[in-house]
Amino acid sequence: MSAIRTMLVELTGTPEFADAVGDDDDLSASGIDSGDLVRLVLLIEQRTGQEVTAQDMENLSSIADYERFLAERGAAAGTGSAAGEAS
Amino acid sequence: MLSLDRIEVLESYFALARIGALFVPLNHSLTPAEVGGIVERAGVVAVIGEDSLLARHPDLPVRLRIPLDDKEFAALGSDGGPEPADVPDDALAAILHTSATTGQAKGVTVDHASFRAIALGWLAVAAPTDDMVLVNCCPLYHGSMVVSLTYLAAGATVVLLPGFTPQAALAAIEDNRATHMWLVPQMLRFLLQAKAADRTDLSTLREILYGAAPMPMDIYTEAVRRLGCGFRQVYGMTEVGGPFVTLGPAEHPEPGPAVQSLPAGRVNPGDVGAGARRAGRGTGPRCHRGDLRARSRSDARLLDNAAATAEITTPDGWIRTGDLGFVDQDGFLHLVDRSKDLIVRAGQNIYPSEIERALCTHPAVRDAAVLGIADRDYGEVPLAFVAAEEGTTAAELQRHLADQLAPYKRPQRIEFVDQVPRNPAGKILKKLLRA
Repeated sequence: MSAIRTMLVELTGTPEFADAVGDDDDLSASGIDSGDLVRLVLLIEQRTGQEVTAQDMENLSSIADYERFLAERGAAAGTGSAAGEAS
Repeated sequence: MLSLDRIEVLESYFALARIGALFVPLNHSLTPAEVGGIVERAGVVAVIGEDSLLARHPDLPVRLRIPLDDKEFAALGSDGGPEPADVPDDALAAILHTSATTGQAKGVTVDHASFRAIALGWLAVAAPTDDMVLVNCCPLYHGSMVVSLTYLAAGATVVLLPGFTPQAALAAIEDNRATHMWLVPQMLRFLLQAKAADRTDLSTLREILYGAAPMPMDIYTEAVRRLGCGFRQVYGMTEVGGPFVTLGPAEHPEPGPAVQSLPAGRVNPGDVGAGARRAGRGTGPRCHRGDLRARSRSDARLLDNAAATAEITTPDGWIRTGDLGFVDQDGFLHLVDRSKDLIVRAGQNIYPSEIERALCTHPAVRDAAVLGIADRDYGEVPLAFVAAEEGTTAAELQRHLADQLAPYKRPQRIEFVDQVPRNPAGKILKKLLRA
């Protein structure tokens, strides 16, 4: 399971995020609570050690968006295995 | 009104009041069934909303759908609009909705006089002025929206966020040189956790207003240390018309080991009152720990539900807040517990019975009990205990709930039990489950 999916299952306690939500589905329309999306971003900051800005968040709506973001930030932070750590 | 927070929502509230129509703000995270039920019971004739939200609710029983993003909406009122209607003080201004034990959202009718009484009390005690800039992090569909209306009444600037994120809230403070911010304590925790908090210029902040849930002392201590501004607690109730108790910055104690909790504050001046009543002892103004009751300018009325109205009001006109507490010798109101079975998750009320009822509609579920457990991020979250046929999974039940309940109401965890403990009268013995 990908890092973002693992985080979503961990944060929401909802196993649907393991496979039932598509990579490109809009998460806010997929039944996730807005507070859990806030916690997802904070968890990404914690794991990569890098800030997620309000501007970054405008481009984050699907699991694929978050995966791409995590991969880029993980690489930039020299923690290319950040995604792997969570899975 | 079916929208995220944006300026057109406030404009619509004022425009509807001007023509004598009621505004009915809707929680946009509710399911189509929940929204449909509210629209039907409230007798809504028109829905104003954002395209994406209107698309999520295609079958609402209304005569008119008004898209907020439409050019026609932008043009409304450009000719000055109709003359203001002659609206008497006791005419209804809004129907606000809160959770209810029945599983159907409870519609609370609020008249113009109540809104004005609450606003005047707030203006007197918090004294907002036109040089203030308030970042409003709370949803405008909630009873707490009265706070923003009050700052607008003083000529202050209100900055709206289309959904709270700590990053957006921090950017809004810096970009607008905000002096005030209104949020629930759990939002403050998220804000302090965000990396942007370390580099954002928060020096313009004078006061953080918080409410809708108790302030955990660890958040308060960290916020005082890092933000260096004043804090104002807000306590209110939709049925009373909004916030009517506040603890001002000068009344907040310095954090420290001796401070275990914060009082809710003192009752605002004006046409509101509050007291604590101990069963059999009458309404006592001083140190009588008991049910906290409030009274406002107008009687609380629940939409088309005389029984529910009677349940929350006393024969002499007091409204039961559902909180237990006392008023100390200096007039500060302290909350110590709740008399009603309610979970407050990040400022949003959830009745366990609503989740229990939804769980029991699953054909494999024999019985269910839900209780609130402490949660670091949300304050409290629902935990469900379910007696179900063998082979039933938590995932299956969560899927079932997703069709009936908004995301914030769904249990954080579902545990399976052989039997839900009940007393001979059928009441769930939640103390046994907590053990």
